[in-house]
Amino acid sequence: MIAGRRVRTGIRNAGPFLVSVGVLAIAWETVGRTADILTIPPLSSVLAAFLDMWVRGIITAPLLDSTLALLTGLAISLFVGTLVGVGIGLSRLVELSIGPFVKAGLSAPMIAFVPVFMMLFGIGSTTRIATVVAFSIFIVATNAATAVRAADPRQLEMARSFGADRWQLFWQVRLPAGASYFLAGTRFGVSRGIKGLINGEVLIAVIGLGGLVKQYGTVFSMDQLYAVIILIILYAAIGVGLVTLIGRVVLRRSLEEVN
Amino acid sequence: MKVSFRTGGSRRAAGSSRHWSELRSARWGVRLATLAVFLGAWQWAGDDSLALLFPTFTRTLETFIGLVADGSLPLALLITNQTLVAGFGMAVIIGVTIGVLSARVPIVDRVVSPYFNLLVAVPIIALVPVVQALMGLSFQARMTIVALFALPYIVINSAVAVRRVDPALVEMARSYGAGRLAVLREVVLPASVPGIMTGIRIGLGQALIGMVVAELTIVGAGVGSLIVEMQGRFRVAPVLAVAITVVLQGVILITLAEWLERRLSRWRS
Amino acid sequence: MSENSDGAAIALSGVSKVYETGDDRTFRALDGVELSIRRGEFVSIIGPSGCGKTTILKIVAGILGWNDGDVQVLGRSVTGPGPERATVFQSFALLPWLSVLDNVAFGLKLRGMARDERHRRARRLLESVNLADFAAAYPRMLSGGMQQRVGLARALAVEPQVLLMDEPFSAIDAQTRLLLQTDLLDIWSRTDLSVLFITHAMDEAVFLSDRVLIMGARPGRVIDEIAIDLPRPRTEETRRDPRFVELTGYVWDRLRGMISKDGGEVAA
Repeated sequence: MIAGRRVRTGIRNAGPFLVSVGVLAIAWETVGRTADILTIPPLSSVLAAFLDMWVRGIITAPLLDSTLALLTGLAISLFVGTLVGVGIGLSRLVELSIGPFVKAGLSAPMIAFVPVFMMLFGIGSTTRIATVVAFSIFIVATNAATAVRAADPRQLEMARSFGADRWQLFWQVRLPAGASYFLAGTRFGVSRGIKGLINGEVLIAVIGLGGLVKQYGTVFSMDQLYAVIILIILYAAIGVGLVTLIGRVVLRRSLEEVN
Repeated sequence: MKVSFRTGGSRRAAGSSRHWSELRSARWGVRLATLAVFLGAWQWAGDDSLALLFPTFTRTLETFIGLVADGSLPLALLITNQTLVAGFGMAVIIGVTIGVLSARVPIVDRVVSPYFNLLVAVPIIALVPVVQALMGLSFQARMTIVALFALPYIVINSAVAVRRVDPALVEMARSYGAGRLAVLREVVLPASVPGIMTGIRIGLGQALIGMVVAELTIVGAGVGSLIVEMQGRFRVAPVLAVAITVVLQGVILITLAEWLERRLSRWRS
Repeated sequence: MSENSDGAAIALSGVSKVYETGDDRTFRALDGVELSIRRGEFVSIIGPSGCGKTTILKIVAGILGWNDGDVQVLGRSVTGPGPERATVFQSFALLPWLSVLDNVAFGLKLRGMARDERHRRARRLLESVNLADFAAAYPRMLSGGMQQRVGLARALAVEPQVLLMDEPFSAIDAQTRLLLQTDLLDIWSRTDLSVLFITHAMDEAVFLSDRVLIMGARPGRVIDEIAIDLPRPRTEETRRDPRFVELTGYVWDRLRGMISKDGGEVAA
């Protein structure tokens, strides 16, 4: 009963949005059919192009290829970023020396380095992996540092007063307190990593999903261009959604284990 | 006894005794030493024998000075920042308006917010060819791209800021006879300033990315064209020098935005 | 309108309030509330948490609607906030980005009074609550007690005839609270204000009021009324008066039955 009611209110809340999506789709189709502008093809031909490219493997191969590069970059960011972040969180010396670089890298336009990467690493996968890392590593490090410090000092003191040792403090107090920050860092890292991936690929222009954007954009193949853009939007939304979902499950389980 | 002794000890270590890192001079010493190590490593890793190799720090610095001296870098930065100011300014005006509206008007929220929540996750660079196809290789196209990068963050943060306004303050204003408009002007907007500033700061970081993207993809202007030109001549040092300049300018602008954000949020502490 | 409420400062008859709690369920917060406050009278409402005493205050203030019944202030039906009423809030509700002076002048600003004039009046009121030296300070620099003095000055600045106070001292430490109570009575005695005072502190209700109304919960309604016959002016001596102790004890007896049943059923 309650679940059913929740679904119903969910639909009611999403209603206006879904209506607006429908209106936009119809408007797109109508303008595309009647106005005959090169840059706005009808939605139906975009979807047809999407299906055609999917079936013929034109977008599935770059999809897999891009995903592999993304995962490689993310693995580097998560490993190195977490190490750096934990170091910053635990040591004042590390914080003072490396902290400013991490803080700068967090919001600075790292994309400006992509042309440098291209010249040094060539126009292959290494460059886009480097871009994924440049986009995602700083947010992972920042959240790892916050995660290490997230434990409530009163809880730590209480645990110490019951004779907890370093390991017990870590497992019983620090880890549960920091887990949500760490997972948030992973989520932001994935979100930024996907952006880095596509940004890198568009600038490299010859590989992956981003490369398709550049190629179809240059020759004004609008059907295919929109199809790839829709795929990228779905890819980013699903990627971030998936990590959010996994994070929630992991967090719930780790909290249950501790309690 | 043992337990209480340990608790007391830890408190003393955390609180009263002064750690070396609290000294201003020590902090600056560490920072400068790190910078020296960083530049030293760069110098050591660099190889100036070929233009296509990673250049040393001194070589990059020389190149930078050369680019400033012949006027090409300052001119490029001037053009680039025109795009940034126009696009980011547009994003701030439109973004804050949409954000405030969506927080105050439920139907706007339901229709508009899902799009911006999606846009935050989407790599805006994928939309660049569409903007280019619609607007050509123009200043307006570059400005639009900068604005698109910043907009979702400004909208979402503004909406959150307005929603988080203490309802007790709104109730107070209403009890003294404030209508919808007066509540907005006297309570909701001033209370949202810190949160809106957060959105503007994050949006600025995105706008800087958009600025580089616009000029690297829609060729023909600013530091982007300078980079592309040097890239074509297979010279790494000038590309690196320009990239570092753009990044440092970004760091400075964002630091300024952070300072402004703190200043306007002082009443919150 | 019944004739005895014609001259009343505040009159509620048969007022009910039903909240929609979502999922098509409702919660009856008030059920047929009857109360009347004479002009110049100081009346407290006390009751267990969730009995709807703050709901009554918000309805009278004009910032909350109700379902059935009639609400009048100074003989006129309430349709919204009005210049003859001013409210003092539990959370102080000061605007943290405004100086103390501008906070006191806030109600006047909303009424379109010119800057110089409203500042002049705000300054005078800050003097009356002994905060003249803090006009340029910001709320966060002030203690809770001082912040609520600002809240009181803001309410008095609009020169209301009816003062509504929603647990104004409940977030303030016990000692300061006693001082604020005497200050409030001092200010009130120099005006002809009618006061509706919501509280959960029994001694506070007895010390301040001409009458104490006791509310029961679920649904909220007035279940008892106690006339406080302590002489005025009331001072610190009043708190040691045997009659004060006796009246406080009586209020406690009436409340205890409800609280021990977790605010549940009450044999009214």
